[in-house]
Amino acid sequence: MSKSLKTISGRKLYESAYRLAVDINLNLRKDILLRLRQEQASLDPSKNVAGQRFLSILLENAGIASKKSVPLCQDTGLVIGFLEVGKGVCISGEAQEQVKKAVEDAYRDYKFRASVVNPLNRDKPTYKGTLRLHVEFTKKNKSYLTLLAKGFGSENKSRVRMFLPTASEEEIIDFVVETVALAGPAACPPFIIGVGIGGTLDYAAFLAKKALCLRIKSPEGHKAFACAILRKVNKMKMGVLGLGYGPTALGVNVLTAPTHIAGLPVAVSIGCHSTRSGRVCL
Amino acid sequence: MSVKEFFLPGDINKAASLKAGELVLLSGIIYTARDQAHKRLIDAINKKAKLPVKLSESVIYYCGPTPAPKGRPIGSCGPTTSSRMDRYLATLMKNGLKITIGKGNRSGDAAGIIKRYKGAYFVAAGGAGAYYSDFVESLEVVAFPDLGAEAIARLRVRKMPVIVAIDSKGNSIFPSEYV
Repeated sequence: MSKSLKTISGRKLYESAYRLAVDINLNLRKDILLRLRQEQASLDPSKNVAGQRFLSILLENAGIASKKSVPLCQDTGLVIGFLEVGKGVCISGEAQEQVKKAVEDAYRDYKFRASVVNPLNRDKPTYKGTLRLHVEFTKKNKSYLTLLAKGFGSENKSRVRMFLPTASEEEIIDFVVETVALAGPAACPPFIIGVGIGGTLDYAAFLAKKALCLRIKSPEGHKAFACAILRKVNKMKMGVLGLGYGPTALGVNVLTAPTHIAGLPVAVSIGCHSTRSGRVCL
Repeated sequence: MSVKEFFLPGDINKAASLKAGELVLLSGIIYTARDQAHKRLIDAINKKAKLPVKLSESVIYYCGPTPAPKGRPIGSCGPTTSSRMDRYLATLMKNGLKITIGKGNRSGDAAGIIKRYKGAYFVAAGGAGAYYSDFVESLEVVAFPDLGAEAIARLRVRKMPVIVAIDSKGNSIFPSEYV
């Protein structure tokens, strides 16, 4: 080996993960906050009093959460972690364990909700197993940790479909739009829509999740495919919490990966109006 | 839009006077109950056992709050998805329940059930858990403490804002394509 490996310690990972787990639950993502504020400023409040009231409640909620250290949502979720290990960086298995420990400790210390149960006997919820960590080795110069605290009101509405390899883009768009319609008001619109296309069943879902963590672009900043989805979804007029006021989705993020000649996996992950994610450089 | 104030449990019998779309401020007593607590309530009803709450004098809030931070009675406490509790709605309403609070549209014949028993369904703003914690004055766990966040808790609330989503005539604020 010509160069020595840079090592990221367990302690560094623990501290970063702990801070991030707290931050995402108390502070609404800046891109979302900005878009919600724009929506509040641009709509006519005389038209739909209930919808307008709920939009202001969401903005007030963000203020109270950060000021009083009360989680944005009581469903502090299961946490999905993406550890992207940079070029020439060494992170030991023990150090990775520190990420799990940090998330559980942060959740316990800050009184976030213990929502983890055995899937079959559904015993008393605990903090153990709050985080599911994915580790990827990348060619990037730096290493990053992303955490996504996923509430199940929206998670329950996610879907994967294995399309024929000959499916058209139109069919994929319709599937995403149908998923949003089925998600409905209870999944807490306006949504961020994460779409994963390609790979395998699991990898498409992984990409959809990762897509939720990407910053949302302005409605004009969406590329053609994502823009087509956004336009169709917003034609639904589901609006803020299903009250027909404001947009149904704030943004659509699409990630793709090579797939097999015989198939076309597509996954849609629905993110709520308070999608809680954040990323730190390690 | 008119804003009504509802004092609970006293005003439960006025549920039939509410109209879908109205904004209502709730003050008084409501009870949290979600998936597992519902399962146990139904089991108790089937076994003709005594229930931990009197359904005809209770409003159920589909909610599983975060633990209370120091100096506050409750943590984050927004509504959870109501439609998951739809399978239990008819039995509970048959046994006296009139008003439920949650988030989102309801499935199947929930509107028909609410109409039959002349009740009402309120929505609170989903995902606004920190906001709703400011309307709760006290919390007392009254049943199933082993369920953690899913225990039944008695909440005293003051002017908690909700919207009538389904009224006693079965009218809903949500378009039928989501129902």
